[in-house]
Amino acid sequence: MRERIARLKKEMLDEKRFLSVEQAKIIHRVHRERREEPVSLRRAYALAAAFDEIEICIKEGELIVGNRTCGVRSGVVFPECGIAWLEDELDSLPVRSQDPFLVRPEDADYIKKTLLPQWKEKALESRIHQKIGQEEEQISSVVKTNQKGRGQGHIIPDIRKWLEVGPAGLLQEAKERMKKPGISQVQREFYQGVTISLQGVLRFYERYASLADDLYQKQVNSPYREDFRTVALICRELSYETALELTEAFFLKFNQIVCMRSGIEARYFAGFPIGFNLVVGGRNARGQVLENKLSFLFLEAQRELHLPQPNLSARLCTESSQEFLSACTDGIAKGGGLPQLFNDEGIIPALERAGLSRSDAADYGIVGCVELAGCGNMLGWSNASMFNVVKVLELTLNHGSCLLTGKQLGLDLGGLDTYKSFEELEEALKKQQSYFVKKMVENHVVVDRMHGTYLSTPLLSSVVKGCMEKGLDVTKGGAVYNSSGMQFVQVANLIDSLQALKEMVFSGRIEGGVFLRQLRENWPDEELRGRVRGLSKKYGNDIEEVDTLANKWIALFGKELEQYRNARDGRFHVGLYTVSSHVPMGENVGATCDGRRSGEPLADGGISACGGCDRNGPTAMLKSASALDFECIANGTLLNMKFSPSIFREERSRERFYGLLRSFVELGIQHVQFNVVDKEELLDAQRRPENYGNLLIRVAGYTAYFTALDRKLQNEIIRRTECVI
Amino acid sequence: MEHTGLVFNIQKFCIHDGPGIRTTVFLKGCPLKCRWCANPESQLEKSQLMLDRRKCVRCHRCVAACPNGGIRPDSKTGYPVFDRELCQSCGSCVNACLGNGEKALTMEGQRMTAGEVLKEVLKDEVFYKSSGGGVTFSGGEPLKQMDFIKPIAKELRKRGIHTACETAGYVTEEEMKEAVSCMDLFLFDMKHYNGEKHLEGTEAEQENILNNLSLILDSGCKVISRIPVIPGFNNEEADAHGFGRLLKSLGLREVHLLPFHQFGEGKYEQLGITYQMAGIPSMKPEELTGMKEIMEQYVERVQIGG
Repeated sequence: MRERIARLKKEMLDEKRFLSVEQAKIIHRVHRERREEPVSLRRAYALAAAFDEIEICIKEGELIVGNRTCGVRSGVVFPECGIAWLEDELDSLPVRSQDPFLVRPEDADYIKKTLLPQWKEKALESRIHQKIGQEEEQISSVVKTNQKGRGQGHIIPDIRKWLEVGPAGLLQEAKERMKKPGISQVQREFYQGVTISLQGVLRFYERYASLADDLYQKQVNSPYREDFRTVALICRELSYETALELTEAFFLKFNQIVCMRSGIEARYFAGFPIGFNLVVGGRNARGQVLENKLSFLFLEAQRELHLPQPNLSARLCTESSQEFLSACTDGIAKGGGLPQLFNDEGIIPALERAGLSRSDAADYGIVGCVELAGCGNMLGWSNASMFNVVKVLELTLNHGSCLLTGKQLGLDLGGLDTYKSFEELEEALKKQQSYFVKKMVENHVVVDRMHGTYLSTPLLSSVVKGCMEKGLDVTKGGAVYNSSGMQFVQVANLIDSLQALKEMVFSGRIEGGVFLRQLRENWPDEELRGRVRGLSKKYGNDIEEVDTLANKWIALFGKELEQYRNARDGRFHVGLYTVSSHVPMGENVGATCDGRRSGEPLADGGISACGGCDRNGPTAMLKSASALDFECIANGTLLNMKFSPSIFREERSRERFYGLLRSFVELGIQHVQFNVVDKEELLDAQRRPENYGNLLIRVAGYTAYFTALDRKLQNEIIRRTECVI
Repeated sequence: MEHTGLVFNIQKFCIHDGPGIRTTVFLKGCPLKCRWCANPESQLEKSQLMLDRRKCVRCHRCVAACPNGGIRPDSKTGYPVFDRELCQSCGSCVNACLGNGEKALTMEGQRMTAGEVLKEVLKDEVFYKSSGGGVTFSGGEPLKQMDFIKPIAKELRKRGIHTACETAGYVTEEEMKEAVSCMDLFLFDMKHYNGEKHLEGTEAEQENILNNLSLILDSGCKVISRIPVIPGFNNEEADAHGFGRLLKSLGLREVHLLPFHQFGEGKYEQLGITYQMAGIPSMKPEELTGMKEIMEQYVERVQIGG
């Protein structure tokens, strides 16, 4: 790593993070000034005004310029999305344990006196709350409806087009389309919005250009003075070293833009990941392997910089070269879980089945954490909702009533004390699931539709295929593909619980009523709990009976969703990941039949086993995962594995790791990511966090600094099974 | 495939017992009595109870559960004491055991048919194929249960899966011939180069072992020799020369030096047997560098660790 990058990295990490209301002020003003205009135009004008007005700067030595604020890693407030949380949390924001942000007193004042009173009721989040707040509350312990207080992201723009025609070319296209006879009012408004936004972009570029000129004139003594003039030259004649430096500068940029979240959200998405995704490797629809110098450059830049962003993914396929596998392994061995690995053999067929064309499926990329999306043509609304099926089982076992509060939350279809057979229980669970799926879908449709009404995104729409052609904003269904992703959480707990019931209750060893009392009273009988925990048939151990049951319930969830369409007339895709929400979602669930106590975290990842239950090593875990029918899972899955660093030290054991990766590909598992760290090291980091400031860890579909994580999440990561050799 | 064997562990993702990713099947029963043995639970050819005191909450459920009255609480410590003569390996005490969430009592060794073992090891076939791995039989002395492992190994070979065994070679000529007919690789344990010292350390004659080793080498099977390096027994410079000369005369080309470790110490206590090597510190791999250098004068490949 060159001195320049090292210095920029250090400056970035050392700079204090502030909340920023700079853009909020502009948004507030423009929306007032233009209150007669339609919402979509107001948003376009507000964005353009931000391009014109936000303070810009170029740091000495910076090679890639541009940010949302002058300060790096600022928490930008968007009042039209959702700011109610700031009312309660403004004072604690600088001191909270998870992802704190400093707040300048004048900004706090502005938020309290202007933004909150003016925007609280008008923000998307409040509008959604007014509309479905009650329904949401009712099902909140089972369903977490997402994307209510922010733009929903999870989309890959058509980068090829942006690079080919640029904003000027897009602007011309929008203007031409606007002139076409017979276009509707909605279409006209859309093209207007696109035009306003793109004009803003062009002016924004120009502002940076003049600033660079300026700095060149003024900074006569800077050792970096020539950079401003030589960037163009570098781009024409890149040597490997300069290309690496430029890539690293690019990677630094990804870490300068963060997402400030409410306290509760920060626990679900700890470490403020914004999810800039880069993908290398894989195979295109013509069967060509996609590995080139840039793939290796990206892997090397990640290894050298060792920062949490970008979320670097590598696509593996049967034809992946040994060199590529080895470069990925070098990155993984460093710890921090990057690159995470995706498998074309498991993913491309799933996306084709979900309706993507052959070439679009082969061209897939990653959004958010581990979610799958077409490139530049799809709004997959990947993180639409989390469906807590473990809670659904709880309600099914307890006459529809919550074990934690005693409230009647679901249908009373009987209980563990009344079901006569395992089949009867499964029947009831199916009904209960169907009841909550319907409600979840209804709520999501409202949220989805409200985004279309209040949160149009003209600039983004200009680079998503289908929008320009249809003259329709991406939030209204302009994209070619329009799905929504529903997460089934968490298969391991569900299956271990069902299996325990099968073996303990429905085999006649224990009466249902007695078992139910254990759940209600949070496992007072330690002996019985020990027996349940000691059962050998658990998910993650390559046991056919168990894995078949897992598959069955995922398929049932998918089938349930098949009957619905979302607000953009798209299908619902099943996802199997939790980000880090298995911890707070676990708090919602009482004692479970697998011996888990009330409030403890659910299994991590998405298709991982319950912590410590995968007793037969990594091959058995992979075999269990491979038993799932990935063709029916198009939204993304997440498998966490933890290895001790020793495996990567010697070439002869590294070779075994390559074998493991090749098998992962052959087994058709969609995703896996590795934490490479000793348990002792993590425990020590808890005791002496000051020594571990840069210990990166893979949390879920993203990477964060271990010491910055909530204690509960830290403990959960330590508990995950480690594969030692 | 109806032959049964006494198996005490089937461990997956083993990466030190031969090439690639392997599953190692551990069999109970060993004719040698090495005082440094790291798997004391492998020695007897019968199921054995193990008690992990760290997990025992002294609830005495096991005492009540034993149908033969073979368990009583120790009058001082309260931990259960076992009359191993009375134990019929029925497992009642293990079922009753509460432990601290994990059971303190376990029964080491269960009878399995060759078919059952085959089914289990085939689960990882994809990993063997992608890594050039396979199945290793270890113990105990696996070749003492040749009737049991031969059909498994034959079937594996038929499917193109690599087979290996870890043996000390103290078996009959017949048994060794059978092994040669179904194993691709022998990981051959050598405790000493000197016959007297060998007898002293293992209570077994070396002659028979060396004859068997020659038998394997003559057959053309691949052999890697493994030497557990034990402080005070075979870790001197002179020992390195001694081993080197012996290996060279036999024509062995690869040897692994395994540093003495204490991972087995706790298991002696759990089994209720005395451990003669208690308190002797484990060796670090780098302590074997000197030996390695000497032996490289005699043998083509010398590696520290498996």
